[in-house]
Amino acid sequence: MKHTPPTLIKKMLRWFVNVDFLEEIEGDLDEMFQQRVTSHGIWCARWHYLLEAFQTCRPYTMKKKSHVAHEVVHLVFLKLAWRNLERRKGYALLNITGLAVGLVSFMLIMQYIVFEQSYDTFHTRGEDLYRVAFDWGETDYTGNNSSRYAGNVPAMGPVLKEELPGVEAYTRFVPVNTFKPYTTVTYRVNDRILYNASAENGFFADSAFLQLFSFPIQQGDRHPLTEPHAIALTQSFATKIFGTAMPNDIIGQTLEIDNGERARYTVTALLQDVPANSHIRFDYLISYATIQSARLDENKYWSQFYTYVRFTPQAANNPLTIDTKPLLHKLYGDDHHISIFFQPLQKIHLHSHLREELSPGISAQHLMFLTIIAYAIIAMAWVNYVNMFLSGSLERAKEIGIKKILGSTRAHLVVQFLAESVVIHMVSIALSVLMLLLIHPSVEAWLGVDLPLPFLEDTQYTWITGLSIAAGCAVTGLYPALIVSAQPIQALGARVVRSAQGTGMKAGLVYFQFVVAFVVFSSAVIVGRQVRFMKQADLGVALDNRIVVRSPGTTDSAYAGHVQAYKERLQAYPFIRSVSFASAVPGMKLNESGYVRRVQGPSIDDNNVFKLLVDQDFFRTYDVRLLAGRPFSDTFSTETQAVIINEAALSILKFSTPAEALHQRIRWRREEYEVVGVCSNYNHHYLQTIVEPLVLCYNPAPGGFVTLQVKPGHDAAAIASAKRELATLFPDAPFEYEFIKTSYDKQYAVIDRFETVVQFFAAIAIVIACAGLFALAAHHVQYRTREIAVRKVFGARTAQVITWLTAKYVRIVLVSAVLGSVITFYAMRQWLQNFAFAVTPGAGDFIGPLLALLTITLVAVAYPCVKASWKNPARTLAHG
Amino acid sequence: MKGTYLGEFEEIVLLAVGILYDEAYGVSVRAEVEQHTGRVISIGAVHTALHRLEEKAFLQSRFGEASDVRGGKRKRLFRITAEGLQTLRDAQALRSQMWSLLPKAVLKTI
Repeated sequence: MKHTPPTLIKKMLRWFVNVDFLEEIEGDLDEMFQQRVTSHGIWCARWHYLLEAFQTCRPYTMKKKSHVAHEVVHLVFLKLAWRNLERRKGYALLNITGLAVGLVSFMLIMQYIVFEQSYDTFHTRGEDLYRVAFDWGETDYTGNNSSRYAGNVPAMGPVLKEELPGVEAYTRFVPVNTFKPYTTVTYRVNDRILYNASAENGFFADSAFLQLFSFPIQQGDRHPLTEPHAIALTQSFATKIFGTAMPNDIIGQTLEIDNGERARYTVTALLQDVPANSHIRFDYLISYATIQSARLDENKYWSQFYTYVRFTPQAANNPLTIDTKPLLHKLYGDDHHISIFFQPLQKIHLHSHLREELSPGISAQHLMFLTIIAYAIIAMAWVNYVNMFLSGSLERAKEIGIKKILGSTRAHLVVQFLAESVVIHMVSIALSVLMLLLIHPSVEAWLGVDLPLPFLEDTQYTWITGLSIAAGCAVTGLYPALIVSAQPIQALGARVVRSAQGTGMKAGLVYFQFVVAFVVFSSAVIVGRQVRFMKQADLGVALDNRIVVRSPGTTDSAYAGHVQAYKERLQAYPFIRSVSFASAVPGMKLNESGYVRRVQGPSIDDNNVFKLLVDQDFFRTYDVRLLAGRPFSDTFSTETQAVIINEAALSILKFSTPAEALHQRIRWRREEYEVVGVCSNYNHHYLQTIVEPLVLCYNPAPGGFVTLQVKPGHDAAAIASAKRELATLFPDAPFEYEFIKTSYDKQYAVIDRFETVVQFFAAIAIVIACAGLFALAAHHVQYRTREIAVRKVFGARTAQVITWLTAKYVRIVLVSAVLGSVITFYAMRQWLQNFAFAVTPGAGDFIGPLLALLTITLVAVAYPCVKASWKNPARTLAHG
Repeated sequence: MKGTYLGEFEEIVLLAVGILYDEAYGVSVRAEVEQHTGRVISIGAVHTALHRLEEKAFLQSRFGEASDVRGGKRKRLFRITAEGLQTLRDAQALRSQMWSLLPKAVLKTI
């Protein structure tokens, strides 16, 4: 059998090699190929053929006088392309704007996504760092394990280091407000207060903290967290306290910190600000030695001490297989459900959703959704481009025909059309970069993070976006160029030629656009409905006209008396209806949790119940409904042993009715209480989470928050008097207040942002889809002008013509809506599972967007259709 | 004007063309050079040398017959020109002259 050399390579040779040399080279290569086939076999021959074919491609053998190459070199095509675009300005403008809008959206979303993915990647040896999470193994009343904590117990760190050979080092830290829900920082010079405000954003952190994590020390001690009462400040927090003092003057200064009791701390170091992409965020660090005691170190049940370990590089590959059972056995014995698990530091932000996360993570699902939107939008923009190009090229059938007759090869035409694409793409890329730079600051402000400036810093971002854009531009430039240039010379004769290859593809692309537009649109509707539902739902607690003031911190012997005085003085104002002290108010974190049991009665399943300290006016101030029993009262001396539970706790304790629970005795941790009341399941936290089971205990003056219920319209007066009274009774306490409705809704910040993003891009998707449709309709009508005229001559009325012309677009929208509804339904059902209280997607969510999209579409196609149907048929037929 | 300078590889190729006389073309020259020098040479290098030598007018070429093993392509046959031969002679003469100048001491050390 006779073998032939690889044809593909031969083709390439013919493509590249100058005709003068081609015959010789080809012949020689063939001859050697045949020799090798007999001496070494076919594969060896093919391989050498390939190698040597490449080696013959030297500068002098290359084609030199090829016309295409010549004209490319001389930019003739660019000139021609520019002229062509100038001639059709509207077309070019629509194309360029559409592409630029798509590109900007794409780059923005990608930039944001890459930012979210970059969380915690800045630590040295970050891949060896793991968080040790804690699992109590207890279930809540919905049957889920809700006791998986991001924090751990103080005893765990040292034991890990001791027991597990792979653990190189560990660090423990705990938020300052874990001990008392109150921390203030005061800076005083010669008895003059220069700074005094609450500062919750700090940790008690041990000296290993700055070794394990890469938060660089700017100034001061290399080991600033060794001594008790040492504090390290971030640059911006220091600026807040000290103004623009020189760093050297700041080190060694003394600050007073009130965290239940007032003490003096020495500034030992100045740290660089925490990068925006860190899930561990703080303004200052206090040495762990300040709170350390033998008793605390032995504590194995207080799971709010964040513990991170660094594994040796060998062990870090596989920490999930480490057996922690012996270690847990040593700490807790056999009778427990407790377990611990390791979370890779860099995966926490996207994948961890435990209790007491240090900062709100974002779900990988949200990012996926955004990525899909990003690619869908850019794809839509490109689809528009291709469609417009194909439609536009029909008008140029004559041009193409004449060019071919005058001797253009197909390569000529491809290069020419490519050049036009290149011009359009370049201009729109330049435009989009400009737009991106312009809106970058406002996007940063809106997201509240410092995004790295695109193109310059983040290489990953640059690569992903750059490659996607390059690939997209190449395909969208090449595809229509190839199709259009294939048009036969007959194009010259016929008046209008349909590009058969293009039509099916074009229709498919339009459907794609409308499905995307519909999916994003209806998703935006459902997301919006969910957000409104959560914000307007009956929470079982009244938030309007309630102002929350930070309670004073220091709990000395005079404290209770002063609190009483403060309440009495405030209540004396006619515009203040009631005043209540509580350890946490709705929307704020609940700190203490524990296991409840009944003193007598059935045994209770594992559980995790939060405790809230409130005074006698709490239920009245917040309008929380009592289902049985009485609110707290200051008239009973035994009130501190009384407890009010909510419905969730009621079912955990296996009481069937609220009345049954009254006067029963229960235990929370080791404390024993008598149930004096049962309150409704009010939503202490936002509706994304289930209602926590609560025990509310009595304390006439708990540290935390003071709530003022104010008569509508008297906010300013109430705030002023609350401030005045606080200053007289607690001169050291800073006055800080919030409207509770506002602070409660802050919980929705993430979802609000998500809603705006989806809405914004829904609008863009619709605009892009309609712009494309407009261009398509204009063209469609144009090449049917004669048909319309003939129909009119035969008696069709204008209305009929319009109906007939627009029916096609209505069909596109309807079919896309059906397809899109299915996609949205499944996607959104998935998404809504993130919410404990969720709306159900219904027909209304789809009919609304359908009608809206239909209207927008009709408006977009109306102009060309109506214009065409009004034309005088006689003129059309006479003049063509 | 390209100089008449002759590189080492060019010299060998020129000699090979001379040896092959009427049958010098890419493949045969390559085989000849490989046989004498023992080096592995790519066909591209041979082509380059041949064409450069032709530009320097040391070689002239014509098309030969087509054959089946060559996929119906003709050979480009090269023949050495008088000028080429003269250059080879000059090169040889230069070498012999310089060889004769080598002192005996040097020859002994080798």
